[in-house]
Amino acid sequence: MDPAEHERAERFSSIFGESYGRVHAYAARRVGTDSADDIAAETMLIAWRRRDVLPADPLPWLYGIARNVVARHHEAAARGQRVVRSLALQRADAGTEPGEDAAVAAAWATLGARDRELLALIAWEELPVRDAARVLGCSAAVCSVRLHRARRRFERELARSVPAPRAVPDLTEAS
Amino acid sequence: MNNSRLPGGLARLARANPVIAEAGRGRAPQAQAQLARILASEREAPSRRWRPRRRRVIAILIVATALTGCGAALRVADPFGFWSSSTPGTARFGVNPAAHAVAPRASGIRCRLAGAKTLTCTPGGRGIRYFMIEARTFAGVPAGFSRASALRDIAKGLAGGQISAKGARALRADLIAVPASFFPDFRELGRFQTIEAQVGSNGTERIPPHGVPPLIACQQLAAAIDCRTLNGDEATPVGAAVYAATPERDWITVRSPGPKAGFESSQRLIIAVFGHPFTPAEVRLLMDMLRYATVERSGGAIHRGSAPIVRGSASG
Repeated sequence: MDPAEHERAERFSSIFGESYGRVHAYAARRVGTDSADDIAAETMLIAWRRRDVLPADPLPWLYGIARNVVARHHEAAARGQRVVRSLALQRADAGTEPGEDAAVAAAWATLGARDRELLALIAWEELPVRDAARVLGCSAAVCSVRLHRARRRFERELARSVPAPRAVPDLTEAS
Repeated sequence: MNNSRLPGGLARLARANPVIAEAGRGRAPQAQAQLARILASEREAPSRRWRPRRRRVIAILIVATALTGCGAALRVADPFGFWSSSTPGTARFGVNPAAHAVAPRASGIRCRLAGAKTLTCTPGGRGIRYFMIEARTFAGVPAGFSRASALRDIAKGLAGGQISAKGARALRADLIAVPASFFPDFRELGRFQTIEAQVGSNGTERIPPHGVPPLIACQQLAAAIDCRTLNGDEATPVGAAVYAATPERDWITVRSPGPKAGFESSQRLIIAVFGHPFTPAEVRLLMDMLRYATVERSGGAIHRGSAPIVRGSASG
């Protein structure tokens, strides 16, 4: 291995150690823990193959890759579900357990996928707006506006929601 | 962002986080084993299935002719309309395996139209904004792909324990079942590719104003970045990067033709190239190749330690 490649491998290993857990959690929130290992592994494999364009702050970039991998997973799952439905079989792929706050879960269930993704990046991935914008591929200004609107919708629904013990929808993006 | 500083509803949402990230997970033995496999993997061009931010890039198909002369005939006669993509957000192009380019490194560039199909681009400055969606174009099927090479790969996979004896038997049977002409046909097939830059939802897509190419292929020429419209380009050099235009306010929303149009176009291409739709034997072999290429790309491969049997031969 030439010195430059060795250096890249060292850097990637360091990033892997620091980021894998967060990427894994990102995936687990969206596809459930069963598939999170595969999503995280594929994300890291793609990142390694694209190491030439590895940015200085790689986490939002990794989330961006994971987001695409999750989208593919959902598409594959949807195809599988069509087959499952056609065979009248039971759905096998369950997501993670929802949060304990039933009002939050109820409000969450009313949001569109775009709002959910943005709010999750801010609240769960704990990204600043600037980095969330990088994940979503929009400018920070546009992302701020979207966040403002998403928050408004979420809080409006939250105010409407009546907590009901365990009668909560799935908080994952298993759409 | 510290959750304690999040405003009301977001703070509640943060507390409802269903999965808390484990900081040490990446250093656990299982993850480190994955890392070792990743680092040992070959450098490859990013998967055709790579999707950029906000866009879905779908390599729909890949078609070609068995004979070199046939390629030229295609360009002249275009009997199945391959080059005439009717969807503005879709680029159909042919990779020229004999021409090699160095891809620019800049992930974002600004371009000005320099001619009917050429653009002059720089990493900064003014002009139409583009961002990289594919770091390197490649011929969809390796030049050396043949029945013999595939049989050798199967033998290696069997020796390395990456494939079972039963699986190897089935693969060999499928390989032997297709005619010899399948291999040159399929190699040529890899030259012709489609990328769809889909921005939009609900059966619509957003497209730039007339004259602005949504997808371009770029190469680094000394200090300059030389780009050309990807759609209809019949000889995109291997290694060129593909960039997509960034949506702006003046983009308009149009109805997307949907996957059916792409499928029909692909069918026409297959028939034009192979002279017939894929036979059941060819479909079986293609499914084999898809299966092993998918395994190679997927995270599952990392767990199982499997390697491609027919590396890269299942693009599209």
